[in-house]
Amino acid sequence: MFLGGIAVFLLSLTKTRTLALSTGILWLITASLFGISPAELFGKNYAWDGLSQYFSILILAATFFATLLGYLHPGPGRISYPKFVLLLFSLASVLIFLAGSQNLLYFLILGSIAQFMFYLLLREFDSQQAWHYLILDLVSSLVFLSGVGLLYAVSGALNLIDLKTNLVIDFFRFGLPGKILPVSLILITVALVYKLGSFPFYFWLGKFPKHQNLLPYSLFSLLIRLGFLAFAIRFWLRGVLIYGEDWQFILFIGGIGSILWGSLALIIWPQKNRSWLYLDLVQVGFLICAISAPTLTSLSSGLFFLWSYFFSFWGLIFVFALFNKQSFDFVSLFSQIKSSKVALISSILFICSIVGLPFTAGFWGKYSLICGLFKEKMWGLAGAGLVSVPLLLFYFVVNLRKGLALKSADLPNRAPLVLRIGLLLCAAAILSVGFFPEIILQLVLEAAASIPF
Amino acid sequence: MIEINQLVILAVLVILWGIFTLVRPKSSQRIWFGLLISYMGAGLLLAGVVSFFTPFSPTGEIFVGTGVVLLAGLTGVLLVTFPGFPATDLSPRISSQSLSETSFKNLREMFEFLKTVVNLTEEADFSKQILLLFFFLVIILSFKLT
Repeated sequence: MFLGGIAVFLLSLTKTRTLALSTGILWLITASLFGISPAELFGKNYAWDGLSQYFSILILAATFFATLLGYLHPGPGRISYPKFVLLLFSLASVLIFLAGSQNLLYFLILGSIAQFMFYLLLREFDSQQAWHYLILDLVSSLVFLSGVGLLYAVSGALNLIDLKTNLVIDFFRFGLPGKILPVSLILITVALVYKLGSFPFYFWLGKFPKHQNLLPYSLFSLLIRLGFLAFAIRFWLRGVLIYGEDWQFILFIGGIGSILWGSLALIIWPQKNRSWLYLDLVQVGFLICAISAPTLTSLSSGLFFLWSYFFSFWGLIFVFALFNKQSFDFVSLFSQIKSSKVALISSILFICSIVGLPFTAGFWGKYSLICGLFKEKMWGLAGAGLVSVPLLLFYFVVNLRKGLALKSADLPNRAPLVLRIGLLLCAAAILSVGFFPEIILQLVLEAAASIPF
Repeated sequence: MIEINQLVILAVLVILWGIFTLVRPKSSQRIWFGLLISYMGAGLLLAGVVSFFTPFSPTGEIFVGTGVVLLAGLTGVLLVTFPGFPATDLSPRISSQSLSETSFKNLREMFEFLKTVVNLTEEADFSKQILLLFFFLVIILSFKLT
């Protein structure tokens, strides 16, 4: 994929040919993923399994959507399209590698490379914020490194499988560990939760949605976060599950807080330009909830939910791009949306999926996740998930009424082909899984089964 | 951990507070405020009483959990749909005076202050964001280790 990015850059074709070549490379790589047998490489520090495969497919899909979006809105104009594709492909290749890594040191190195590449992309939009982003990431990486240092001192391992084995052996040889192990797990968990942007560590994301472009936050939220999430699942559920009481409470707070705070903040600040941030926070809360209940059912439900979150958000991004909106301004969108039937139908579909209404992928994702949480007696997490549904519905109904009451003279231009392709793919992904959830069930179950509970 | 009987006592006190507010309505806002407090007390009472009859059982936990979550949702919805709460913030006023000089005349101003603090936090520069990271980290560490 990295070589493909270099080829696109060196060939320096026209914009349309660059898009066609990039699309061909991406589809070829995606198809090839299904032919690779599961394996553990580099001394079991990297695993190609169901989880890597699922996240790699989503990362490739995000890269494709970002390539489509970048074709129309590449940024302030300083960055050429082939250079944008090169940076995007390089970032995605690192993230695919990160999604399968099983070593804490690998995460530090690959995560840092990914963040630096994102800095290079973000610099094209806002150099000052890109610099701030890099520093904030460095600080969280230092917190992570401190935790890794302590954990290595306690267990003598950096590989997640060795880490688990050593912790079990040490438990039987020396009994319960002292305070160093909880401190190390808290430091690592806080750093991961910070990088994922969950409650209460989401504040640093506040400025992202204010860009005059949809790309920066899309790239962080729906591309980079996938790589981090895959590693976080491996670390929490494969490496340190036996000491769950030391880190699970952070995920409980993060999950419940993200869902409830995100849903309420959407209603409290309806006029603010931060609806994307809070909507995103709610979805991250659901994902965190799925991980904090460490069972096969919850994890598979969470991965199923990830599908709906991913395609609903990309779909909404394409709808907003269609109307030349640079943020999730629903009132303004609803005031114009009557002029385009395609946008109207698809946006209703994506919003229904985000709220969790039948028959969309979001409904099955939330239904299976909340049922799984009830089954595991995680009442708080399940209750927060249930409460968020009427709150989100209330938010969208209020905005719809406000938007329809406004009379807007602006009519969208004829929808560009690339946006129509993106919209169609996202709508198909949401609707097909909504009616036939078994389409991705096998993929999701294989991904969840990669973690031995 | 709050015991069930403590939950009931707390609920009764909250309801009394609501009634006390309702019997001295100086304005229409105070009536809304009194009703809100009474709703909160009723929610707590419901959760407490139901749990009292099914102690230490999953059903009781469901009711307590659902009661508290519904209460949070109800409080939030009532707060944001409260007619006396315009969606404004106090940023200019707060930035023009020091925190020690800031005073609140009523609940509305307190709510606006909270909104302002969240606004300022989400839009703060990166040095304050780093401080926030360590602030929450220390809280979490002290929560677990003490």
